[in-house]
Amino acid sequence: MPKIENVDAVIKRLQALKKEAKEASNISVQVGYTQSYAVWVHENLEASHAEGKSAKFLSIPAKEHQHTLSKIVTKIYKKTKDMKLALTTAGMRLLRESQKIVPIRTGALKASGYVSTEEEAEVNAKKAWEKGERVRKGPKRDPKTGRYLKKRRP
Amino acid sequence: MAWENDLYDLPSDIVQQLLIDLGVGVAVTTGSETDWQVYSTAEPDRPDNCITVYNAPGNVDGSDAWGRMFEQYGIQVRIRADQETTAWRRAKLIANRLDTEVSMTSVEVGEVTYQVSSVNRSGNIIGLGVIPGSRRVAYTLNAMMSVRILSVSGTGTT
Repeated sequence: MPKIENVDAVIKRLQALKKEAKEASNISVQVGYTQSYAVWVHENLEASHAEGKSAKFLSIPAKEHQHTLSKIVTKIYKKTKDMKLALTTAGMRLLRESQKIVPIRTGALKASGYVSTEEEAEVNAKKAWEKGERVRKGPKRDPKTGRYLKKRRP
Repeated sequence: MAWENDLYDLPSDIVQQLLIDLGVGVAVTTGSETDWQVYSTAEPDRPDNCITVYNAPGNVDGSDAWGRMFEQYGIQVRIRADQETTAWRRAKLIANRLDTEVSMTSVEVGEVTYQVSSVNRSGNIIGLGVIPGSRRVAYTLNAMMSVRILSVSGTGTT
């Protein structure tokens, strides 16, 4: 009967890959917007928006760029063996593409975009919400004079 | 040359008729306030409880050797009601019917008969909360539809 050499080494390598895959598959990353009206704007297909802006500002880029996003994850993971980094980088690319088409009125919705791992989601989502609120409220004014308290950028 | 997957009608019009055939809504009667009339592309102000189907981005899955494109049509079904529970229950009913009762289903829109292979939901039912400027609430469900023309009246085309 022919002998197959190095079988044990192959089995060991496959087991190591299986363990690596299992650990990597437990990591996930969120991409989203935290303004309370984000879901409404995303789902409202009746609204008309400025040129280049639209509803479905997350699902459209996610679908259009799915191959690019999976290439980013594959490339980075191959290089670094860090799935968290790979997914976060892909998430940031998705957010960037999404922010190109997210409708803008005050800029709060766009500013409230975030990318985060599941464990850090609560903290990062809160920071994104606070940023969105700052943009929505605008620069602070003196209540008596109505003048801006901080120098505005030109 | 028209391929069998060229559509004469909007995908939303096809799903509008499909929902009526599935018994989750009724045909529109102008001026009527009957609940659960099914609209296509535009949601009216009245009645409170209604269903509207919109066209949404779809998927193109390549082509065959003859250049025929394989396409899935995106649709969104919006369910509006005056009560949260009412809207949710209707949305769930629609989701269940689409999941379980649509498989190579024939739908007639005008003179054209379509065969809807499937309507696959692309996520959970999404609650939009209270609609701005009203006390009504809305839910949406998004899906991809695979459909082809079965026949056109008078031509016998298949």
